Amino acid sequence: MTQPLVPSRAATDVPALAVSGLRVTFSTETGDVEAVRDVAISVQPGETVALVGESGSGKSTVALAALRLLPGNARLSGQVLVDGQDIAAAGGRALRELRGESVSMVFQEPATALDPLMRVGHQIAEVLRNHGDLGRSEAWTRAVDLLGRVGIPDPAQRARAFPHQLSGGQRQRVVIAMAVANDPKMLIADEPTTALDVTVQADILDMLRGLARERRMGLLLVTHNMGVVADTADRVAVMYQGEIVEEGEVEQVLLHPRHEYSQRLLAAVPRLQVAEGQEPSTTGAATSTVPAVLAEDLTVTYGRGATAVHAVDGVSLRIEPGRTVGLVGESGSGKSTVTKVVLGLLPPTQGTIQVLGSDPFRIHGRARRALRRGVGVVMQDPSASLDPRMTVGDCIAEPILVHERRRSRRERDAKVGAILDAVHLSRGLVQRSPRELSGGQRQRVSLARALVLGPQLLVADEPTSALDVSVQRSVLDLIQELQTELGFACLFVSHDLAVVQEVSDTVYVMREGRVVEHGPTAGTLSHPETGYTRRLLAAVPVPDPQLQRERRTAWRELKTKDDTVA
Amino acid sequence: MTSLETVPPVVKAPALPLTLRRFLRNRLAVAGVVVVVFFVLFTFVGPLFYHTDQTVTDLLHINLKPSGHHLLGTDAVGHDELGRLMYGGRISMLVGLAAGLLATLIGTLWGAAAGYMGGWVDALMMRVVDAGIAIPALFILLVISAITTPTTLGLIIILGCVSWLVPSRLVRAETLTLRSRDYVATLRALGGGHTRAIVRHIIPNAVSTIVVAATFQVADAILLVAYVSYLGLGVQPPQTDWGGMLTAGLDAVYSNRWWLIAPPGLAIVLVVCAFNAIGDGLRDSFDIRGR
Amino acid sequence: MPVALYLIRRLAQSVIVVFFVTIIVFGLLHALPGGPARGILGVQATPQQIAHFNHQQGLDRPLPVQYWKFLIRLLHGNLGTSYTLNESVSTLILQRLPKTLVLTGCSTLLALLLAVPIGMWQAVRRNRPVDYTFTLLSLVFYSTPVFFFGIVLIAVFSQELPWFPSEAPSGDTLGQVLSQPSGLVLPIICGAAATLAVFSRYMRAATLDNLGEDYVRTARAGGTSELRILLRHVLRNSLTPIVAMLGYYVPVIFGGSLVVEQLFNYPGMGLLFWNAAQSSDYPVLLGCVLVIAIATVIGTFIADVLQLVIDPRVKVGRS
Repeated sequence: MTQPLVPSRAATDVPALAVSGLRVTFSTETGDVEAVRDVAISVQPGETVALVGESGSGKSTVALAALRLLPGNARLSGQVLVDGQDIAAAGGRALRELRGESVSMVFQEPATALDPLMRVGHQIAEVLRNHGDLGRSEAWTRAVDLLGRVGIPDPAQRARAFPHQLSGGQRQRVVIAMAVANDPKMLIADEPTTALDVTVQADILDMLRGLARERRMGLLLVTHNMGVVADTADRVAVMYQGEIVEEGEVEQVLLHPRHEYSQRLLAAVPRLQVAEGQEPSTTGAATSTVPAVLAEDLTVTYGRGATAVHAVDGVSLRIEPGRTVGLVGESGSGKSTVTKVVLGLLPPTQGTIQVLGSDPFRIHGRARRALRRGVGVVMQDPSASLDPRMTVGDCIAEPILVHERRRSRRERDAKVGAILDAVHLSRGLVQRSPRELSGGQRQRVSLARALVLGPQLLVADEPTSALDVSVQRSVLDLIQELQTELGFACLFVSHDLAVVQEVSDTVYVMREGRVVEHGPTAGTLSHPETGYTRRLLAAVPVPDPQLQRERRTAWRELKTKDDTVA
Repeated sequence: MTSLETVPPVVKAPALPLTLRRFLRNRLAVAGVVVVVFFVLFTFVGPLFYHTDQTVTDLLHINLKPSGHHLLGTDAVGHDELGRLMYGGRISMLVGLAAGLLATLIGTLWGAAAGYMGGWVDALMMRVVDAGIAIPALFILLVISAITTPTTLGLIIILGCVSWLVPSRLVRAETLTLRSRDYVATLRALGGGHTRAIVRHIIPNAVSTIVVAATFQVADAILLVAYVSYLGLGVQPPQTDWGGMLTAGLDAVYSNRWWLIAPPGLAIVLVVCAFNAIGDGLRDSFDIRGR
Repeated sequence: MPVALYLIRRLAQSVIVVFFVTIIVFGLLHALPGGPARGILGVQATPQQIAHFNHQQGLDRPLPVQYWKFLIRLLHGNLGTSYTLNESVSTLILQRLPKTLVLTGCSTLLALLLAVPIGMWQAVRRNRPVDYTFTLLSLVFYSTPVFFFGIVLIAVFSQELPWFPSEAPSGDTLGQVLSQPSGLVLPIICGAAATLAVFSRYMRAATLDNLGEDYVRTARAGGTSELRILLRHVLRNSLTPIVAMLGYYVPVIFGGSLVVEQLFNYPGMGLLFWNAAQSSDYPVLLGCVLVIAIATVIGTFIADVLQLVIDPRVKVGRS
């Protein structure tokens, strides 16, 4: 059960997918962009191949090319054989027959992948009727059956639901049901679990693997997550700037990468330390006894009466000066709401909050401004957190303009220059627009803006979640370096346990508005006390295939204790 | 450093900003600009070359067909039609431009205030807008004109006050979107005030929406002026505008005097078309995808 | 939020809007020369009659009180009496409104029946000659004043080619008007043109938006044909914004009917209004404004309810 199915190498086996000489060029306003250069990849029936890369590597383009779903401005050349038939050369009708029957696809974003105005049962039935002569009621019955197979409880009822009535994980299961409805030889999954919580991800990957094995289906899994690769794949291909730089069995590539890029990529992945004794380093030292943040019994309620929703329910939190507290939880855990309260953007319905010694909602005027300048914030989306109409220098200087109006131009520029140095960005970027910078560079600018006035508290809300793995590494390193240098306390919010483990001294685990567990990071994450934390930890895949296999077994055992299907 | 990022090379600034290039590729929009320029020259510079008398009637030469003397014929009181077209055009376009810009200004202020303040203030302000939209502009204009006869300035103000409703909704929607952007939240978190948020972040980012709205408002205003003048309620004789020239249109049809109908009508259609095409072009060039 | 709560909230909003409309009308009433007294008593009233009337009606009372009385009168359906036609305004409107509704209804229906397929076709054939042609046509029709278009229609189809009469059938009852359909053709086409232009543009934009959505890609990946995607998925999703726009388009349609009825001499509310404007018949003017505004509010309310029917997501919370 834990050994990957060895694909039979009989000469008569037609590969589920055989791509050779694939070249894809996009014609854009600014010229031609070659997204995929001469890529060759093959997947045998029953085999799972992972296609790994960062943004811009071309991996999604390869996936879309396999179904000829590229946008209109793409030019494709090469051969793409699906179950022996060339989909790259297929015309209208032949193409429609191949799609959904010989090869299918599961996409990244479950929230938008389904027609919002059509019941999910009908959408599955439609795929069935595309490829078979089925009556409406027969198609419906089979659709309900498929829903059951992908793990949706009460499928007969659920089939009548509209997509917005289902959770993200359930919607993704529906998309998978549509994909496997006609028993395709090949299934392509483009980042199928990236938008889902980690516990849901583990479930869905498990199910996908099971389906692939059961139906002897080839599975091409496109992802940027090495843990997912270790968890599901038999073979791996690493892509960089449109080319495959390394390919091989999963153990070999993940544990002994040969190409320089693969080595760098794997070195940059934050790894969840599961064995005892590998404690991450802690930073900073307490200098005073007034905590940077002290929250007691915080509650934030939306709505009234029976329909009231407690986004945050009785949360208590304490951050010592100079220390980092990690706030981790899945979607709907309330961690973002807590962040807003700490930032003074959302008043709590109940409970008390003290930031740097004062309640941000009770003070006014000068005291309030003094408090605000002591807090810096970095948010998740690098493209939304900087005003595209301002230059980089203006963005960073904004806090100075708000709090230290009197400073001369020269003093301002000096401060901006100094902080740019600290975040390892060239001073020459001052005149540029944020639009010209990469995601990682924008986050550094955000960081510079947050730290330019030397605050005592940095609130980082998923600061690296939208970045590529390698970039994530450098930004995380930077945050830790700056904390040692400048001594600020840090509230680090993330859904990524490995990252939180690495940077925080103390960790708080949140679920549905409550803190289920908290304590020093080392102890809490290596010896979790609550079932939820244990399941959460067990669900995180690690980039070591052998280790991950053991973890997978452990996770399955834990899962039987909790029956809710997300 | 394990970073795989590279600093982007200093890109030589392209000869024209992307927005302008996109606009120039839109043939209709460019044609629109050409048409507007043509008519501005036609109505303002034209009379300098083509002298006609628009005040004194010439009853000996009424209703003449187009000829060498009168390139577009004459009207019922002997005025030269081409000259009338020029002078009338000035009024149509000026009033339309002024009223359109006024409407956009009022609408922007109202919509931005409502969108930024949110809550019940926003709800109330928008109900007022809904009430205003519910009454057709033409009806209100007729009622007002039954009460008073406005001067040209008065006409501009009234038209502006009747048309600001639509841009207010657009600007409100844009303000709502911008207000919830991360960079505004960050500003508020670090202690920035509302004024700074509005002036430095929201308005500059809303400019493209406002400019597009203004262009469409000018187009609508020119059209509205034409309606109002056609119904006899706009500018008063001896001044005239294109809409007013069509008041006697039906009679002209029955007596086969096409030269009295076609020129002003076509002029209106062309100019309004041009502004609408420019508005479309601007909207496509400011494409939000790029941000 | 549950459907009932949403509808109640929507209804409350509509009521507030109607309130604001009555305030606007009340304001106009008081802006009239001679004040509302003239509005009720007529042009011939002497100063003594006016003073007496003012006192009797409490017009020397503070404004809020007057407004309240005005509101009460409205709720009793009393819209005043026409100066010139010697009938109550409500009667006149009730007589004329159905005819206007028939005319505008037919125009709008015609426009929509054409706009939806044209818009979708344009989106599918984006940037090809068909698309450009229709875009140009939409632009021209949208920019053409309705009266000019009407004049041209009459010139071509009535003068040059004697296909249709240039005047609409006259008559008091709906039956009389409908008995001569050929007289309705030109007015209906005239009213439909601008609406067709506007809604084909909306439909094109909505279809383009939807064609770029992820769910279309999912359907393609499952082997669904382009035609089926268009008709079964995209069409329904594109209709929601169209329905929303329709509600707000009611006043524009009425505005257009004013011009069309005046041009073709069609005995509807538009013509009533036009004649009243010529003769300064204020009660009629204000009564019509009120009725149309209320019709718009009802229209937008119905549009929202329709949206609820088409799009189940609307039930789940709205900002």
